[in-house]
Amino acid sequence: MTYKIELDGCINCGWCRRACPTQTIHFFLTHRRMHVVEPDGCIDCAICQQVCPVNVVWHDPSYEPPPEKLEAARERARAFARKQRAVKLQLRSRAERTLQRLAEHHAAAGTAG
Amino acid sequence: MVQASRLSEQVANSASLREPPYRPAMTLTPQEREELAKKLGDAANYEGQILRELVEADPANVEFKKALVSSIASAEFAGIDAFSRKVVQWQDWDVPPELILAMARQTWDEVRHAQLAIGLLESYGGTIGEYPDTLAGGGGQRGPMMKEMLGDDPADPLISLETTNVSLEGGALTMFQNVSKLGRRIGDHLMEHCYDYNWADEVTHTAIGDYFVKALCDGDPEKEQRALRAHARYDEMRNRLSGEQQDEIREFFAEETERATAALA
Repeated sequence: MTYKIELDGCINCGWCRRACPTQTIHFFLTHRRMHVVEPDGCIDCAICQQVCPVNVVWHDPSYEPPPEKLEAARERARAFARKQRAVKLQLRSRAERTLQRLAEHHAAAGTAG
Repeated sequence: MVQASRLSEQVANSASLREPPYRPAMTLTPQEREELAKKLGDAANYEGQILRELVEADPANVEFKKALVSSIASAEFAGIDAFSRKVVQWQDWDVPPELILAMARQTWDEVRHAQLAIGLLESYGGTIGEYPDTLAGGGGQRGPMMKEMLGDDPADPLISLETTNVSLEGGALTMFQNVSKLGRRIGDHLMEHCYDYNWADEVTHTAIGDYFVKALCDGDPEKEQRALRAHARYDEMRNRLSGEQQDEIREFFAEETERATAALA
């Protein structure tokens, strides 16, 4: 199980590469202008296929990555998810503090008025 | 041809102007920052990611929505400026005439995006210029800095297409979809549809860029390497600005250095 990018239709927007939780989609390291999935790092999450704006990512069930590589890729995905979640929580907490601050300002302005 | 060259010189030397005039966020006075802080809780909150979070947290607050749309609108005006300059300036380069027409089409696309932003702002009771500009036009003043950063000529159509169309606009796809989805989640269907429309155009712009980069590099691996290097440097700069790390880019430059060292040995 892995995914393949049909190079003819790919517009190199890089969305799949940025979204891949295991960083197994390469562009620069191909040293050509092409996006390629390194199958040993693929955990079959299908995110690349979902985000592709031109529908050129295909599922390839014929390949099985070695178990130790699959486990290493899953660990990278867990770390990626933890990092994304931490960023999201940080943003949410900053937004909540901002709303609180604005509410206090409005209340103070109302009292002063 | 001579006339085109004169015009491109004139365009290169002309400043980016807009009515109302640009008011870059980087150059706000302390008083203007205070005004911004009163509306957004903190002047530092005038930034895309946190503005999206604020809109989600309090969809009834129109100031958050106005600020979010204004921050994106600046890039649309910069797009009009930048792509229209290319229509003129690239006539002096050896490029297919279809590429010039594609840049004219992109200019008009950016005009429509700006019109959508104006309409959306008006629906919230706002106007362009009320919030500061995250970008201030696409004039040539940044040329020398960009040249140093990219290690290549940003005016070269190959480099410009790879960095602006493919790297920058490709990267913006995520942002446009996020704002459209935000509009859907909070029940703001105008926001949802405006940014879905912009998103579709950005996909086309990225495809146009990629198509012409491939055409300009056809059969010339050295040109392809130049485009790739400029793309990596541009991505690296953007990632640094957003605090992200890209192991692949670091590895790419390490391999490039190794290759260069081997070639010199």
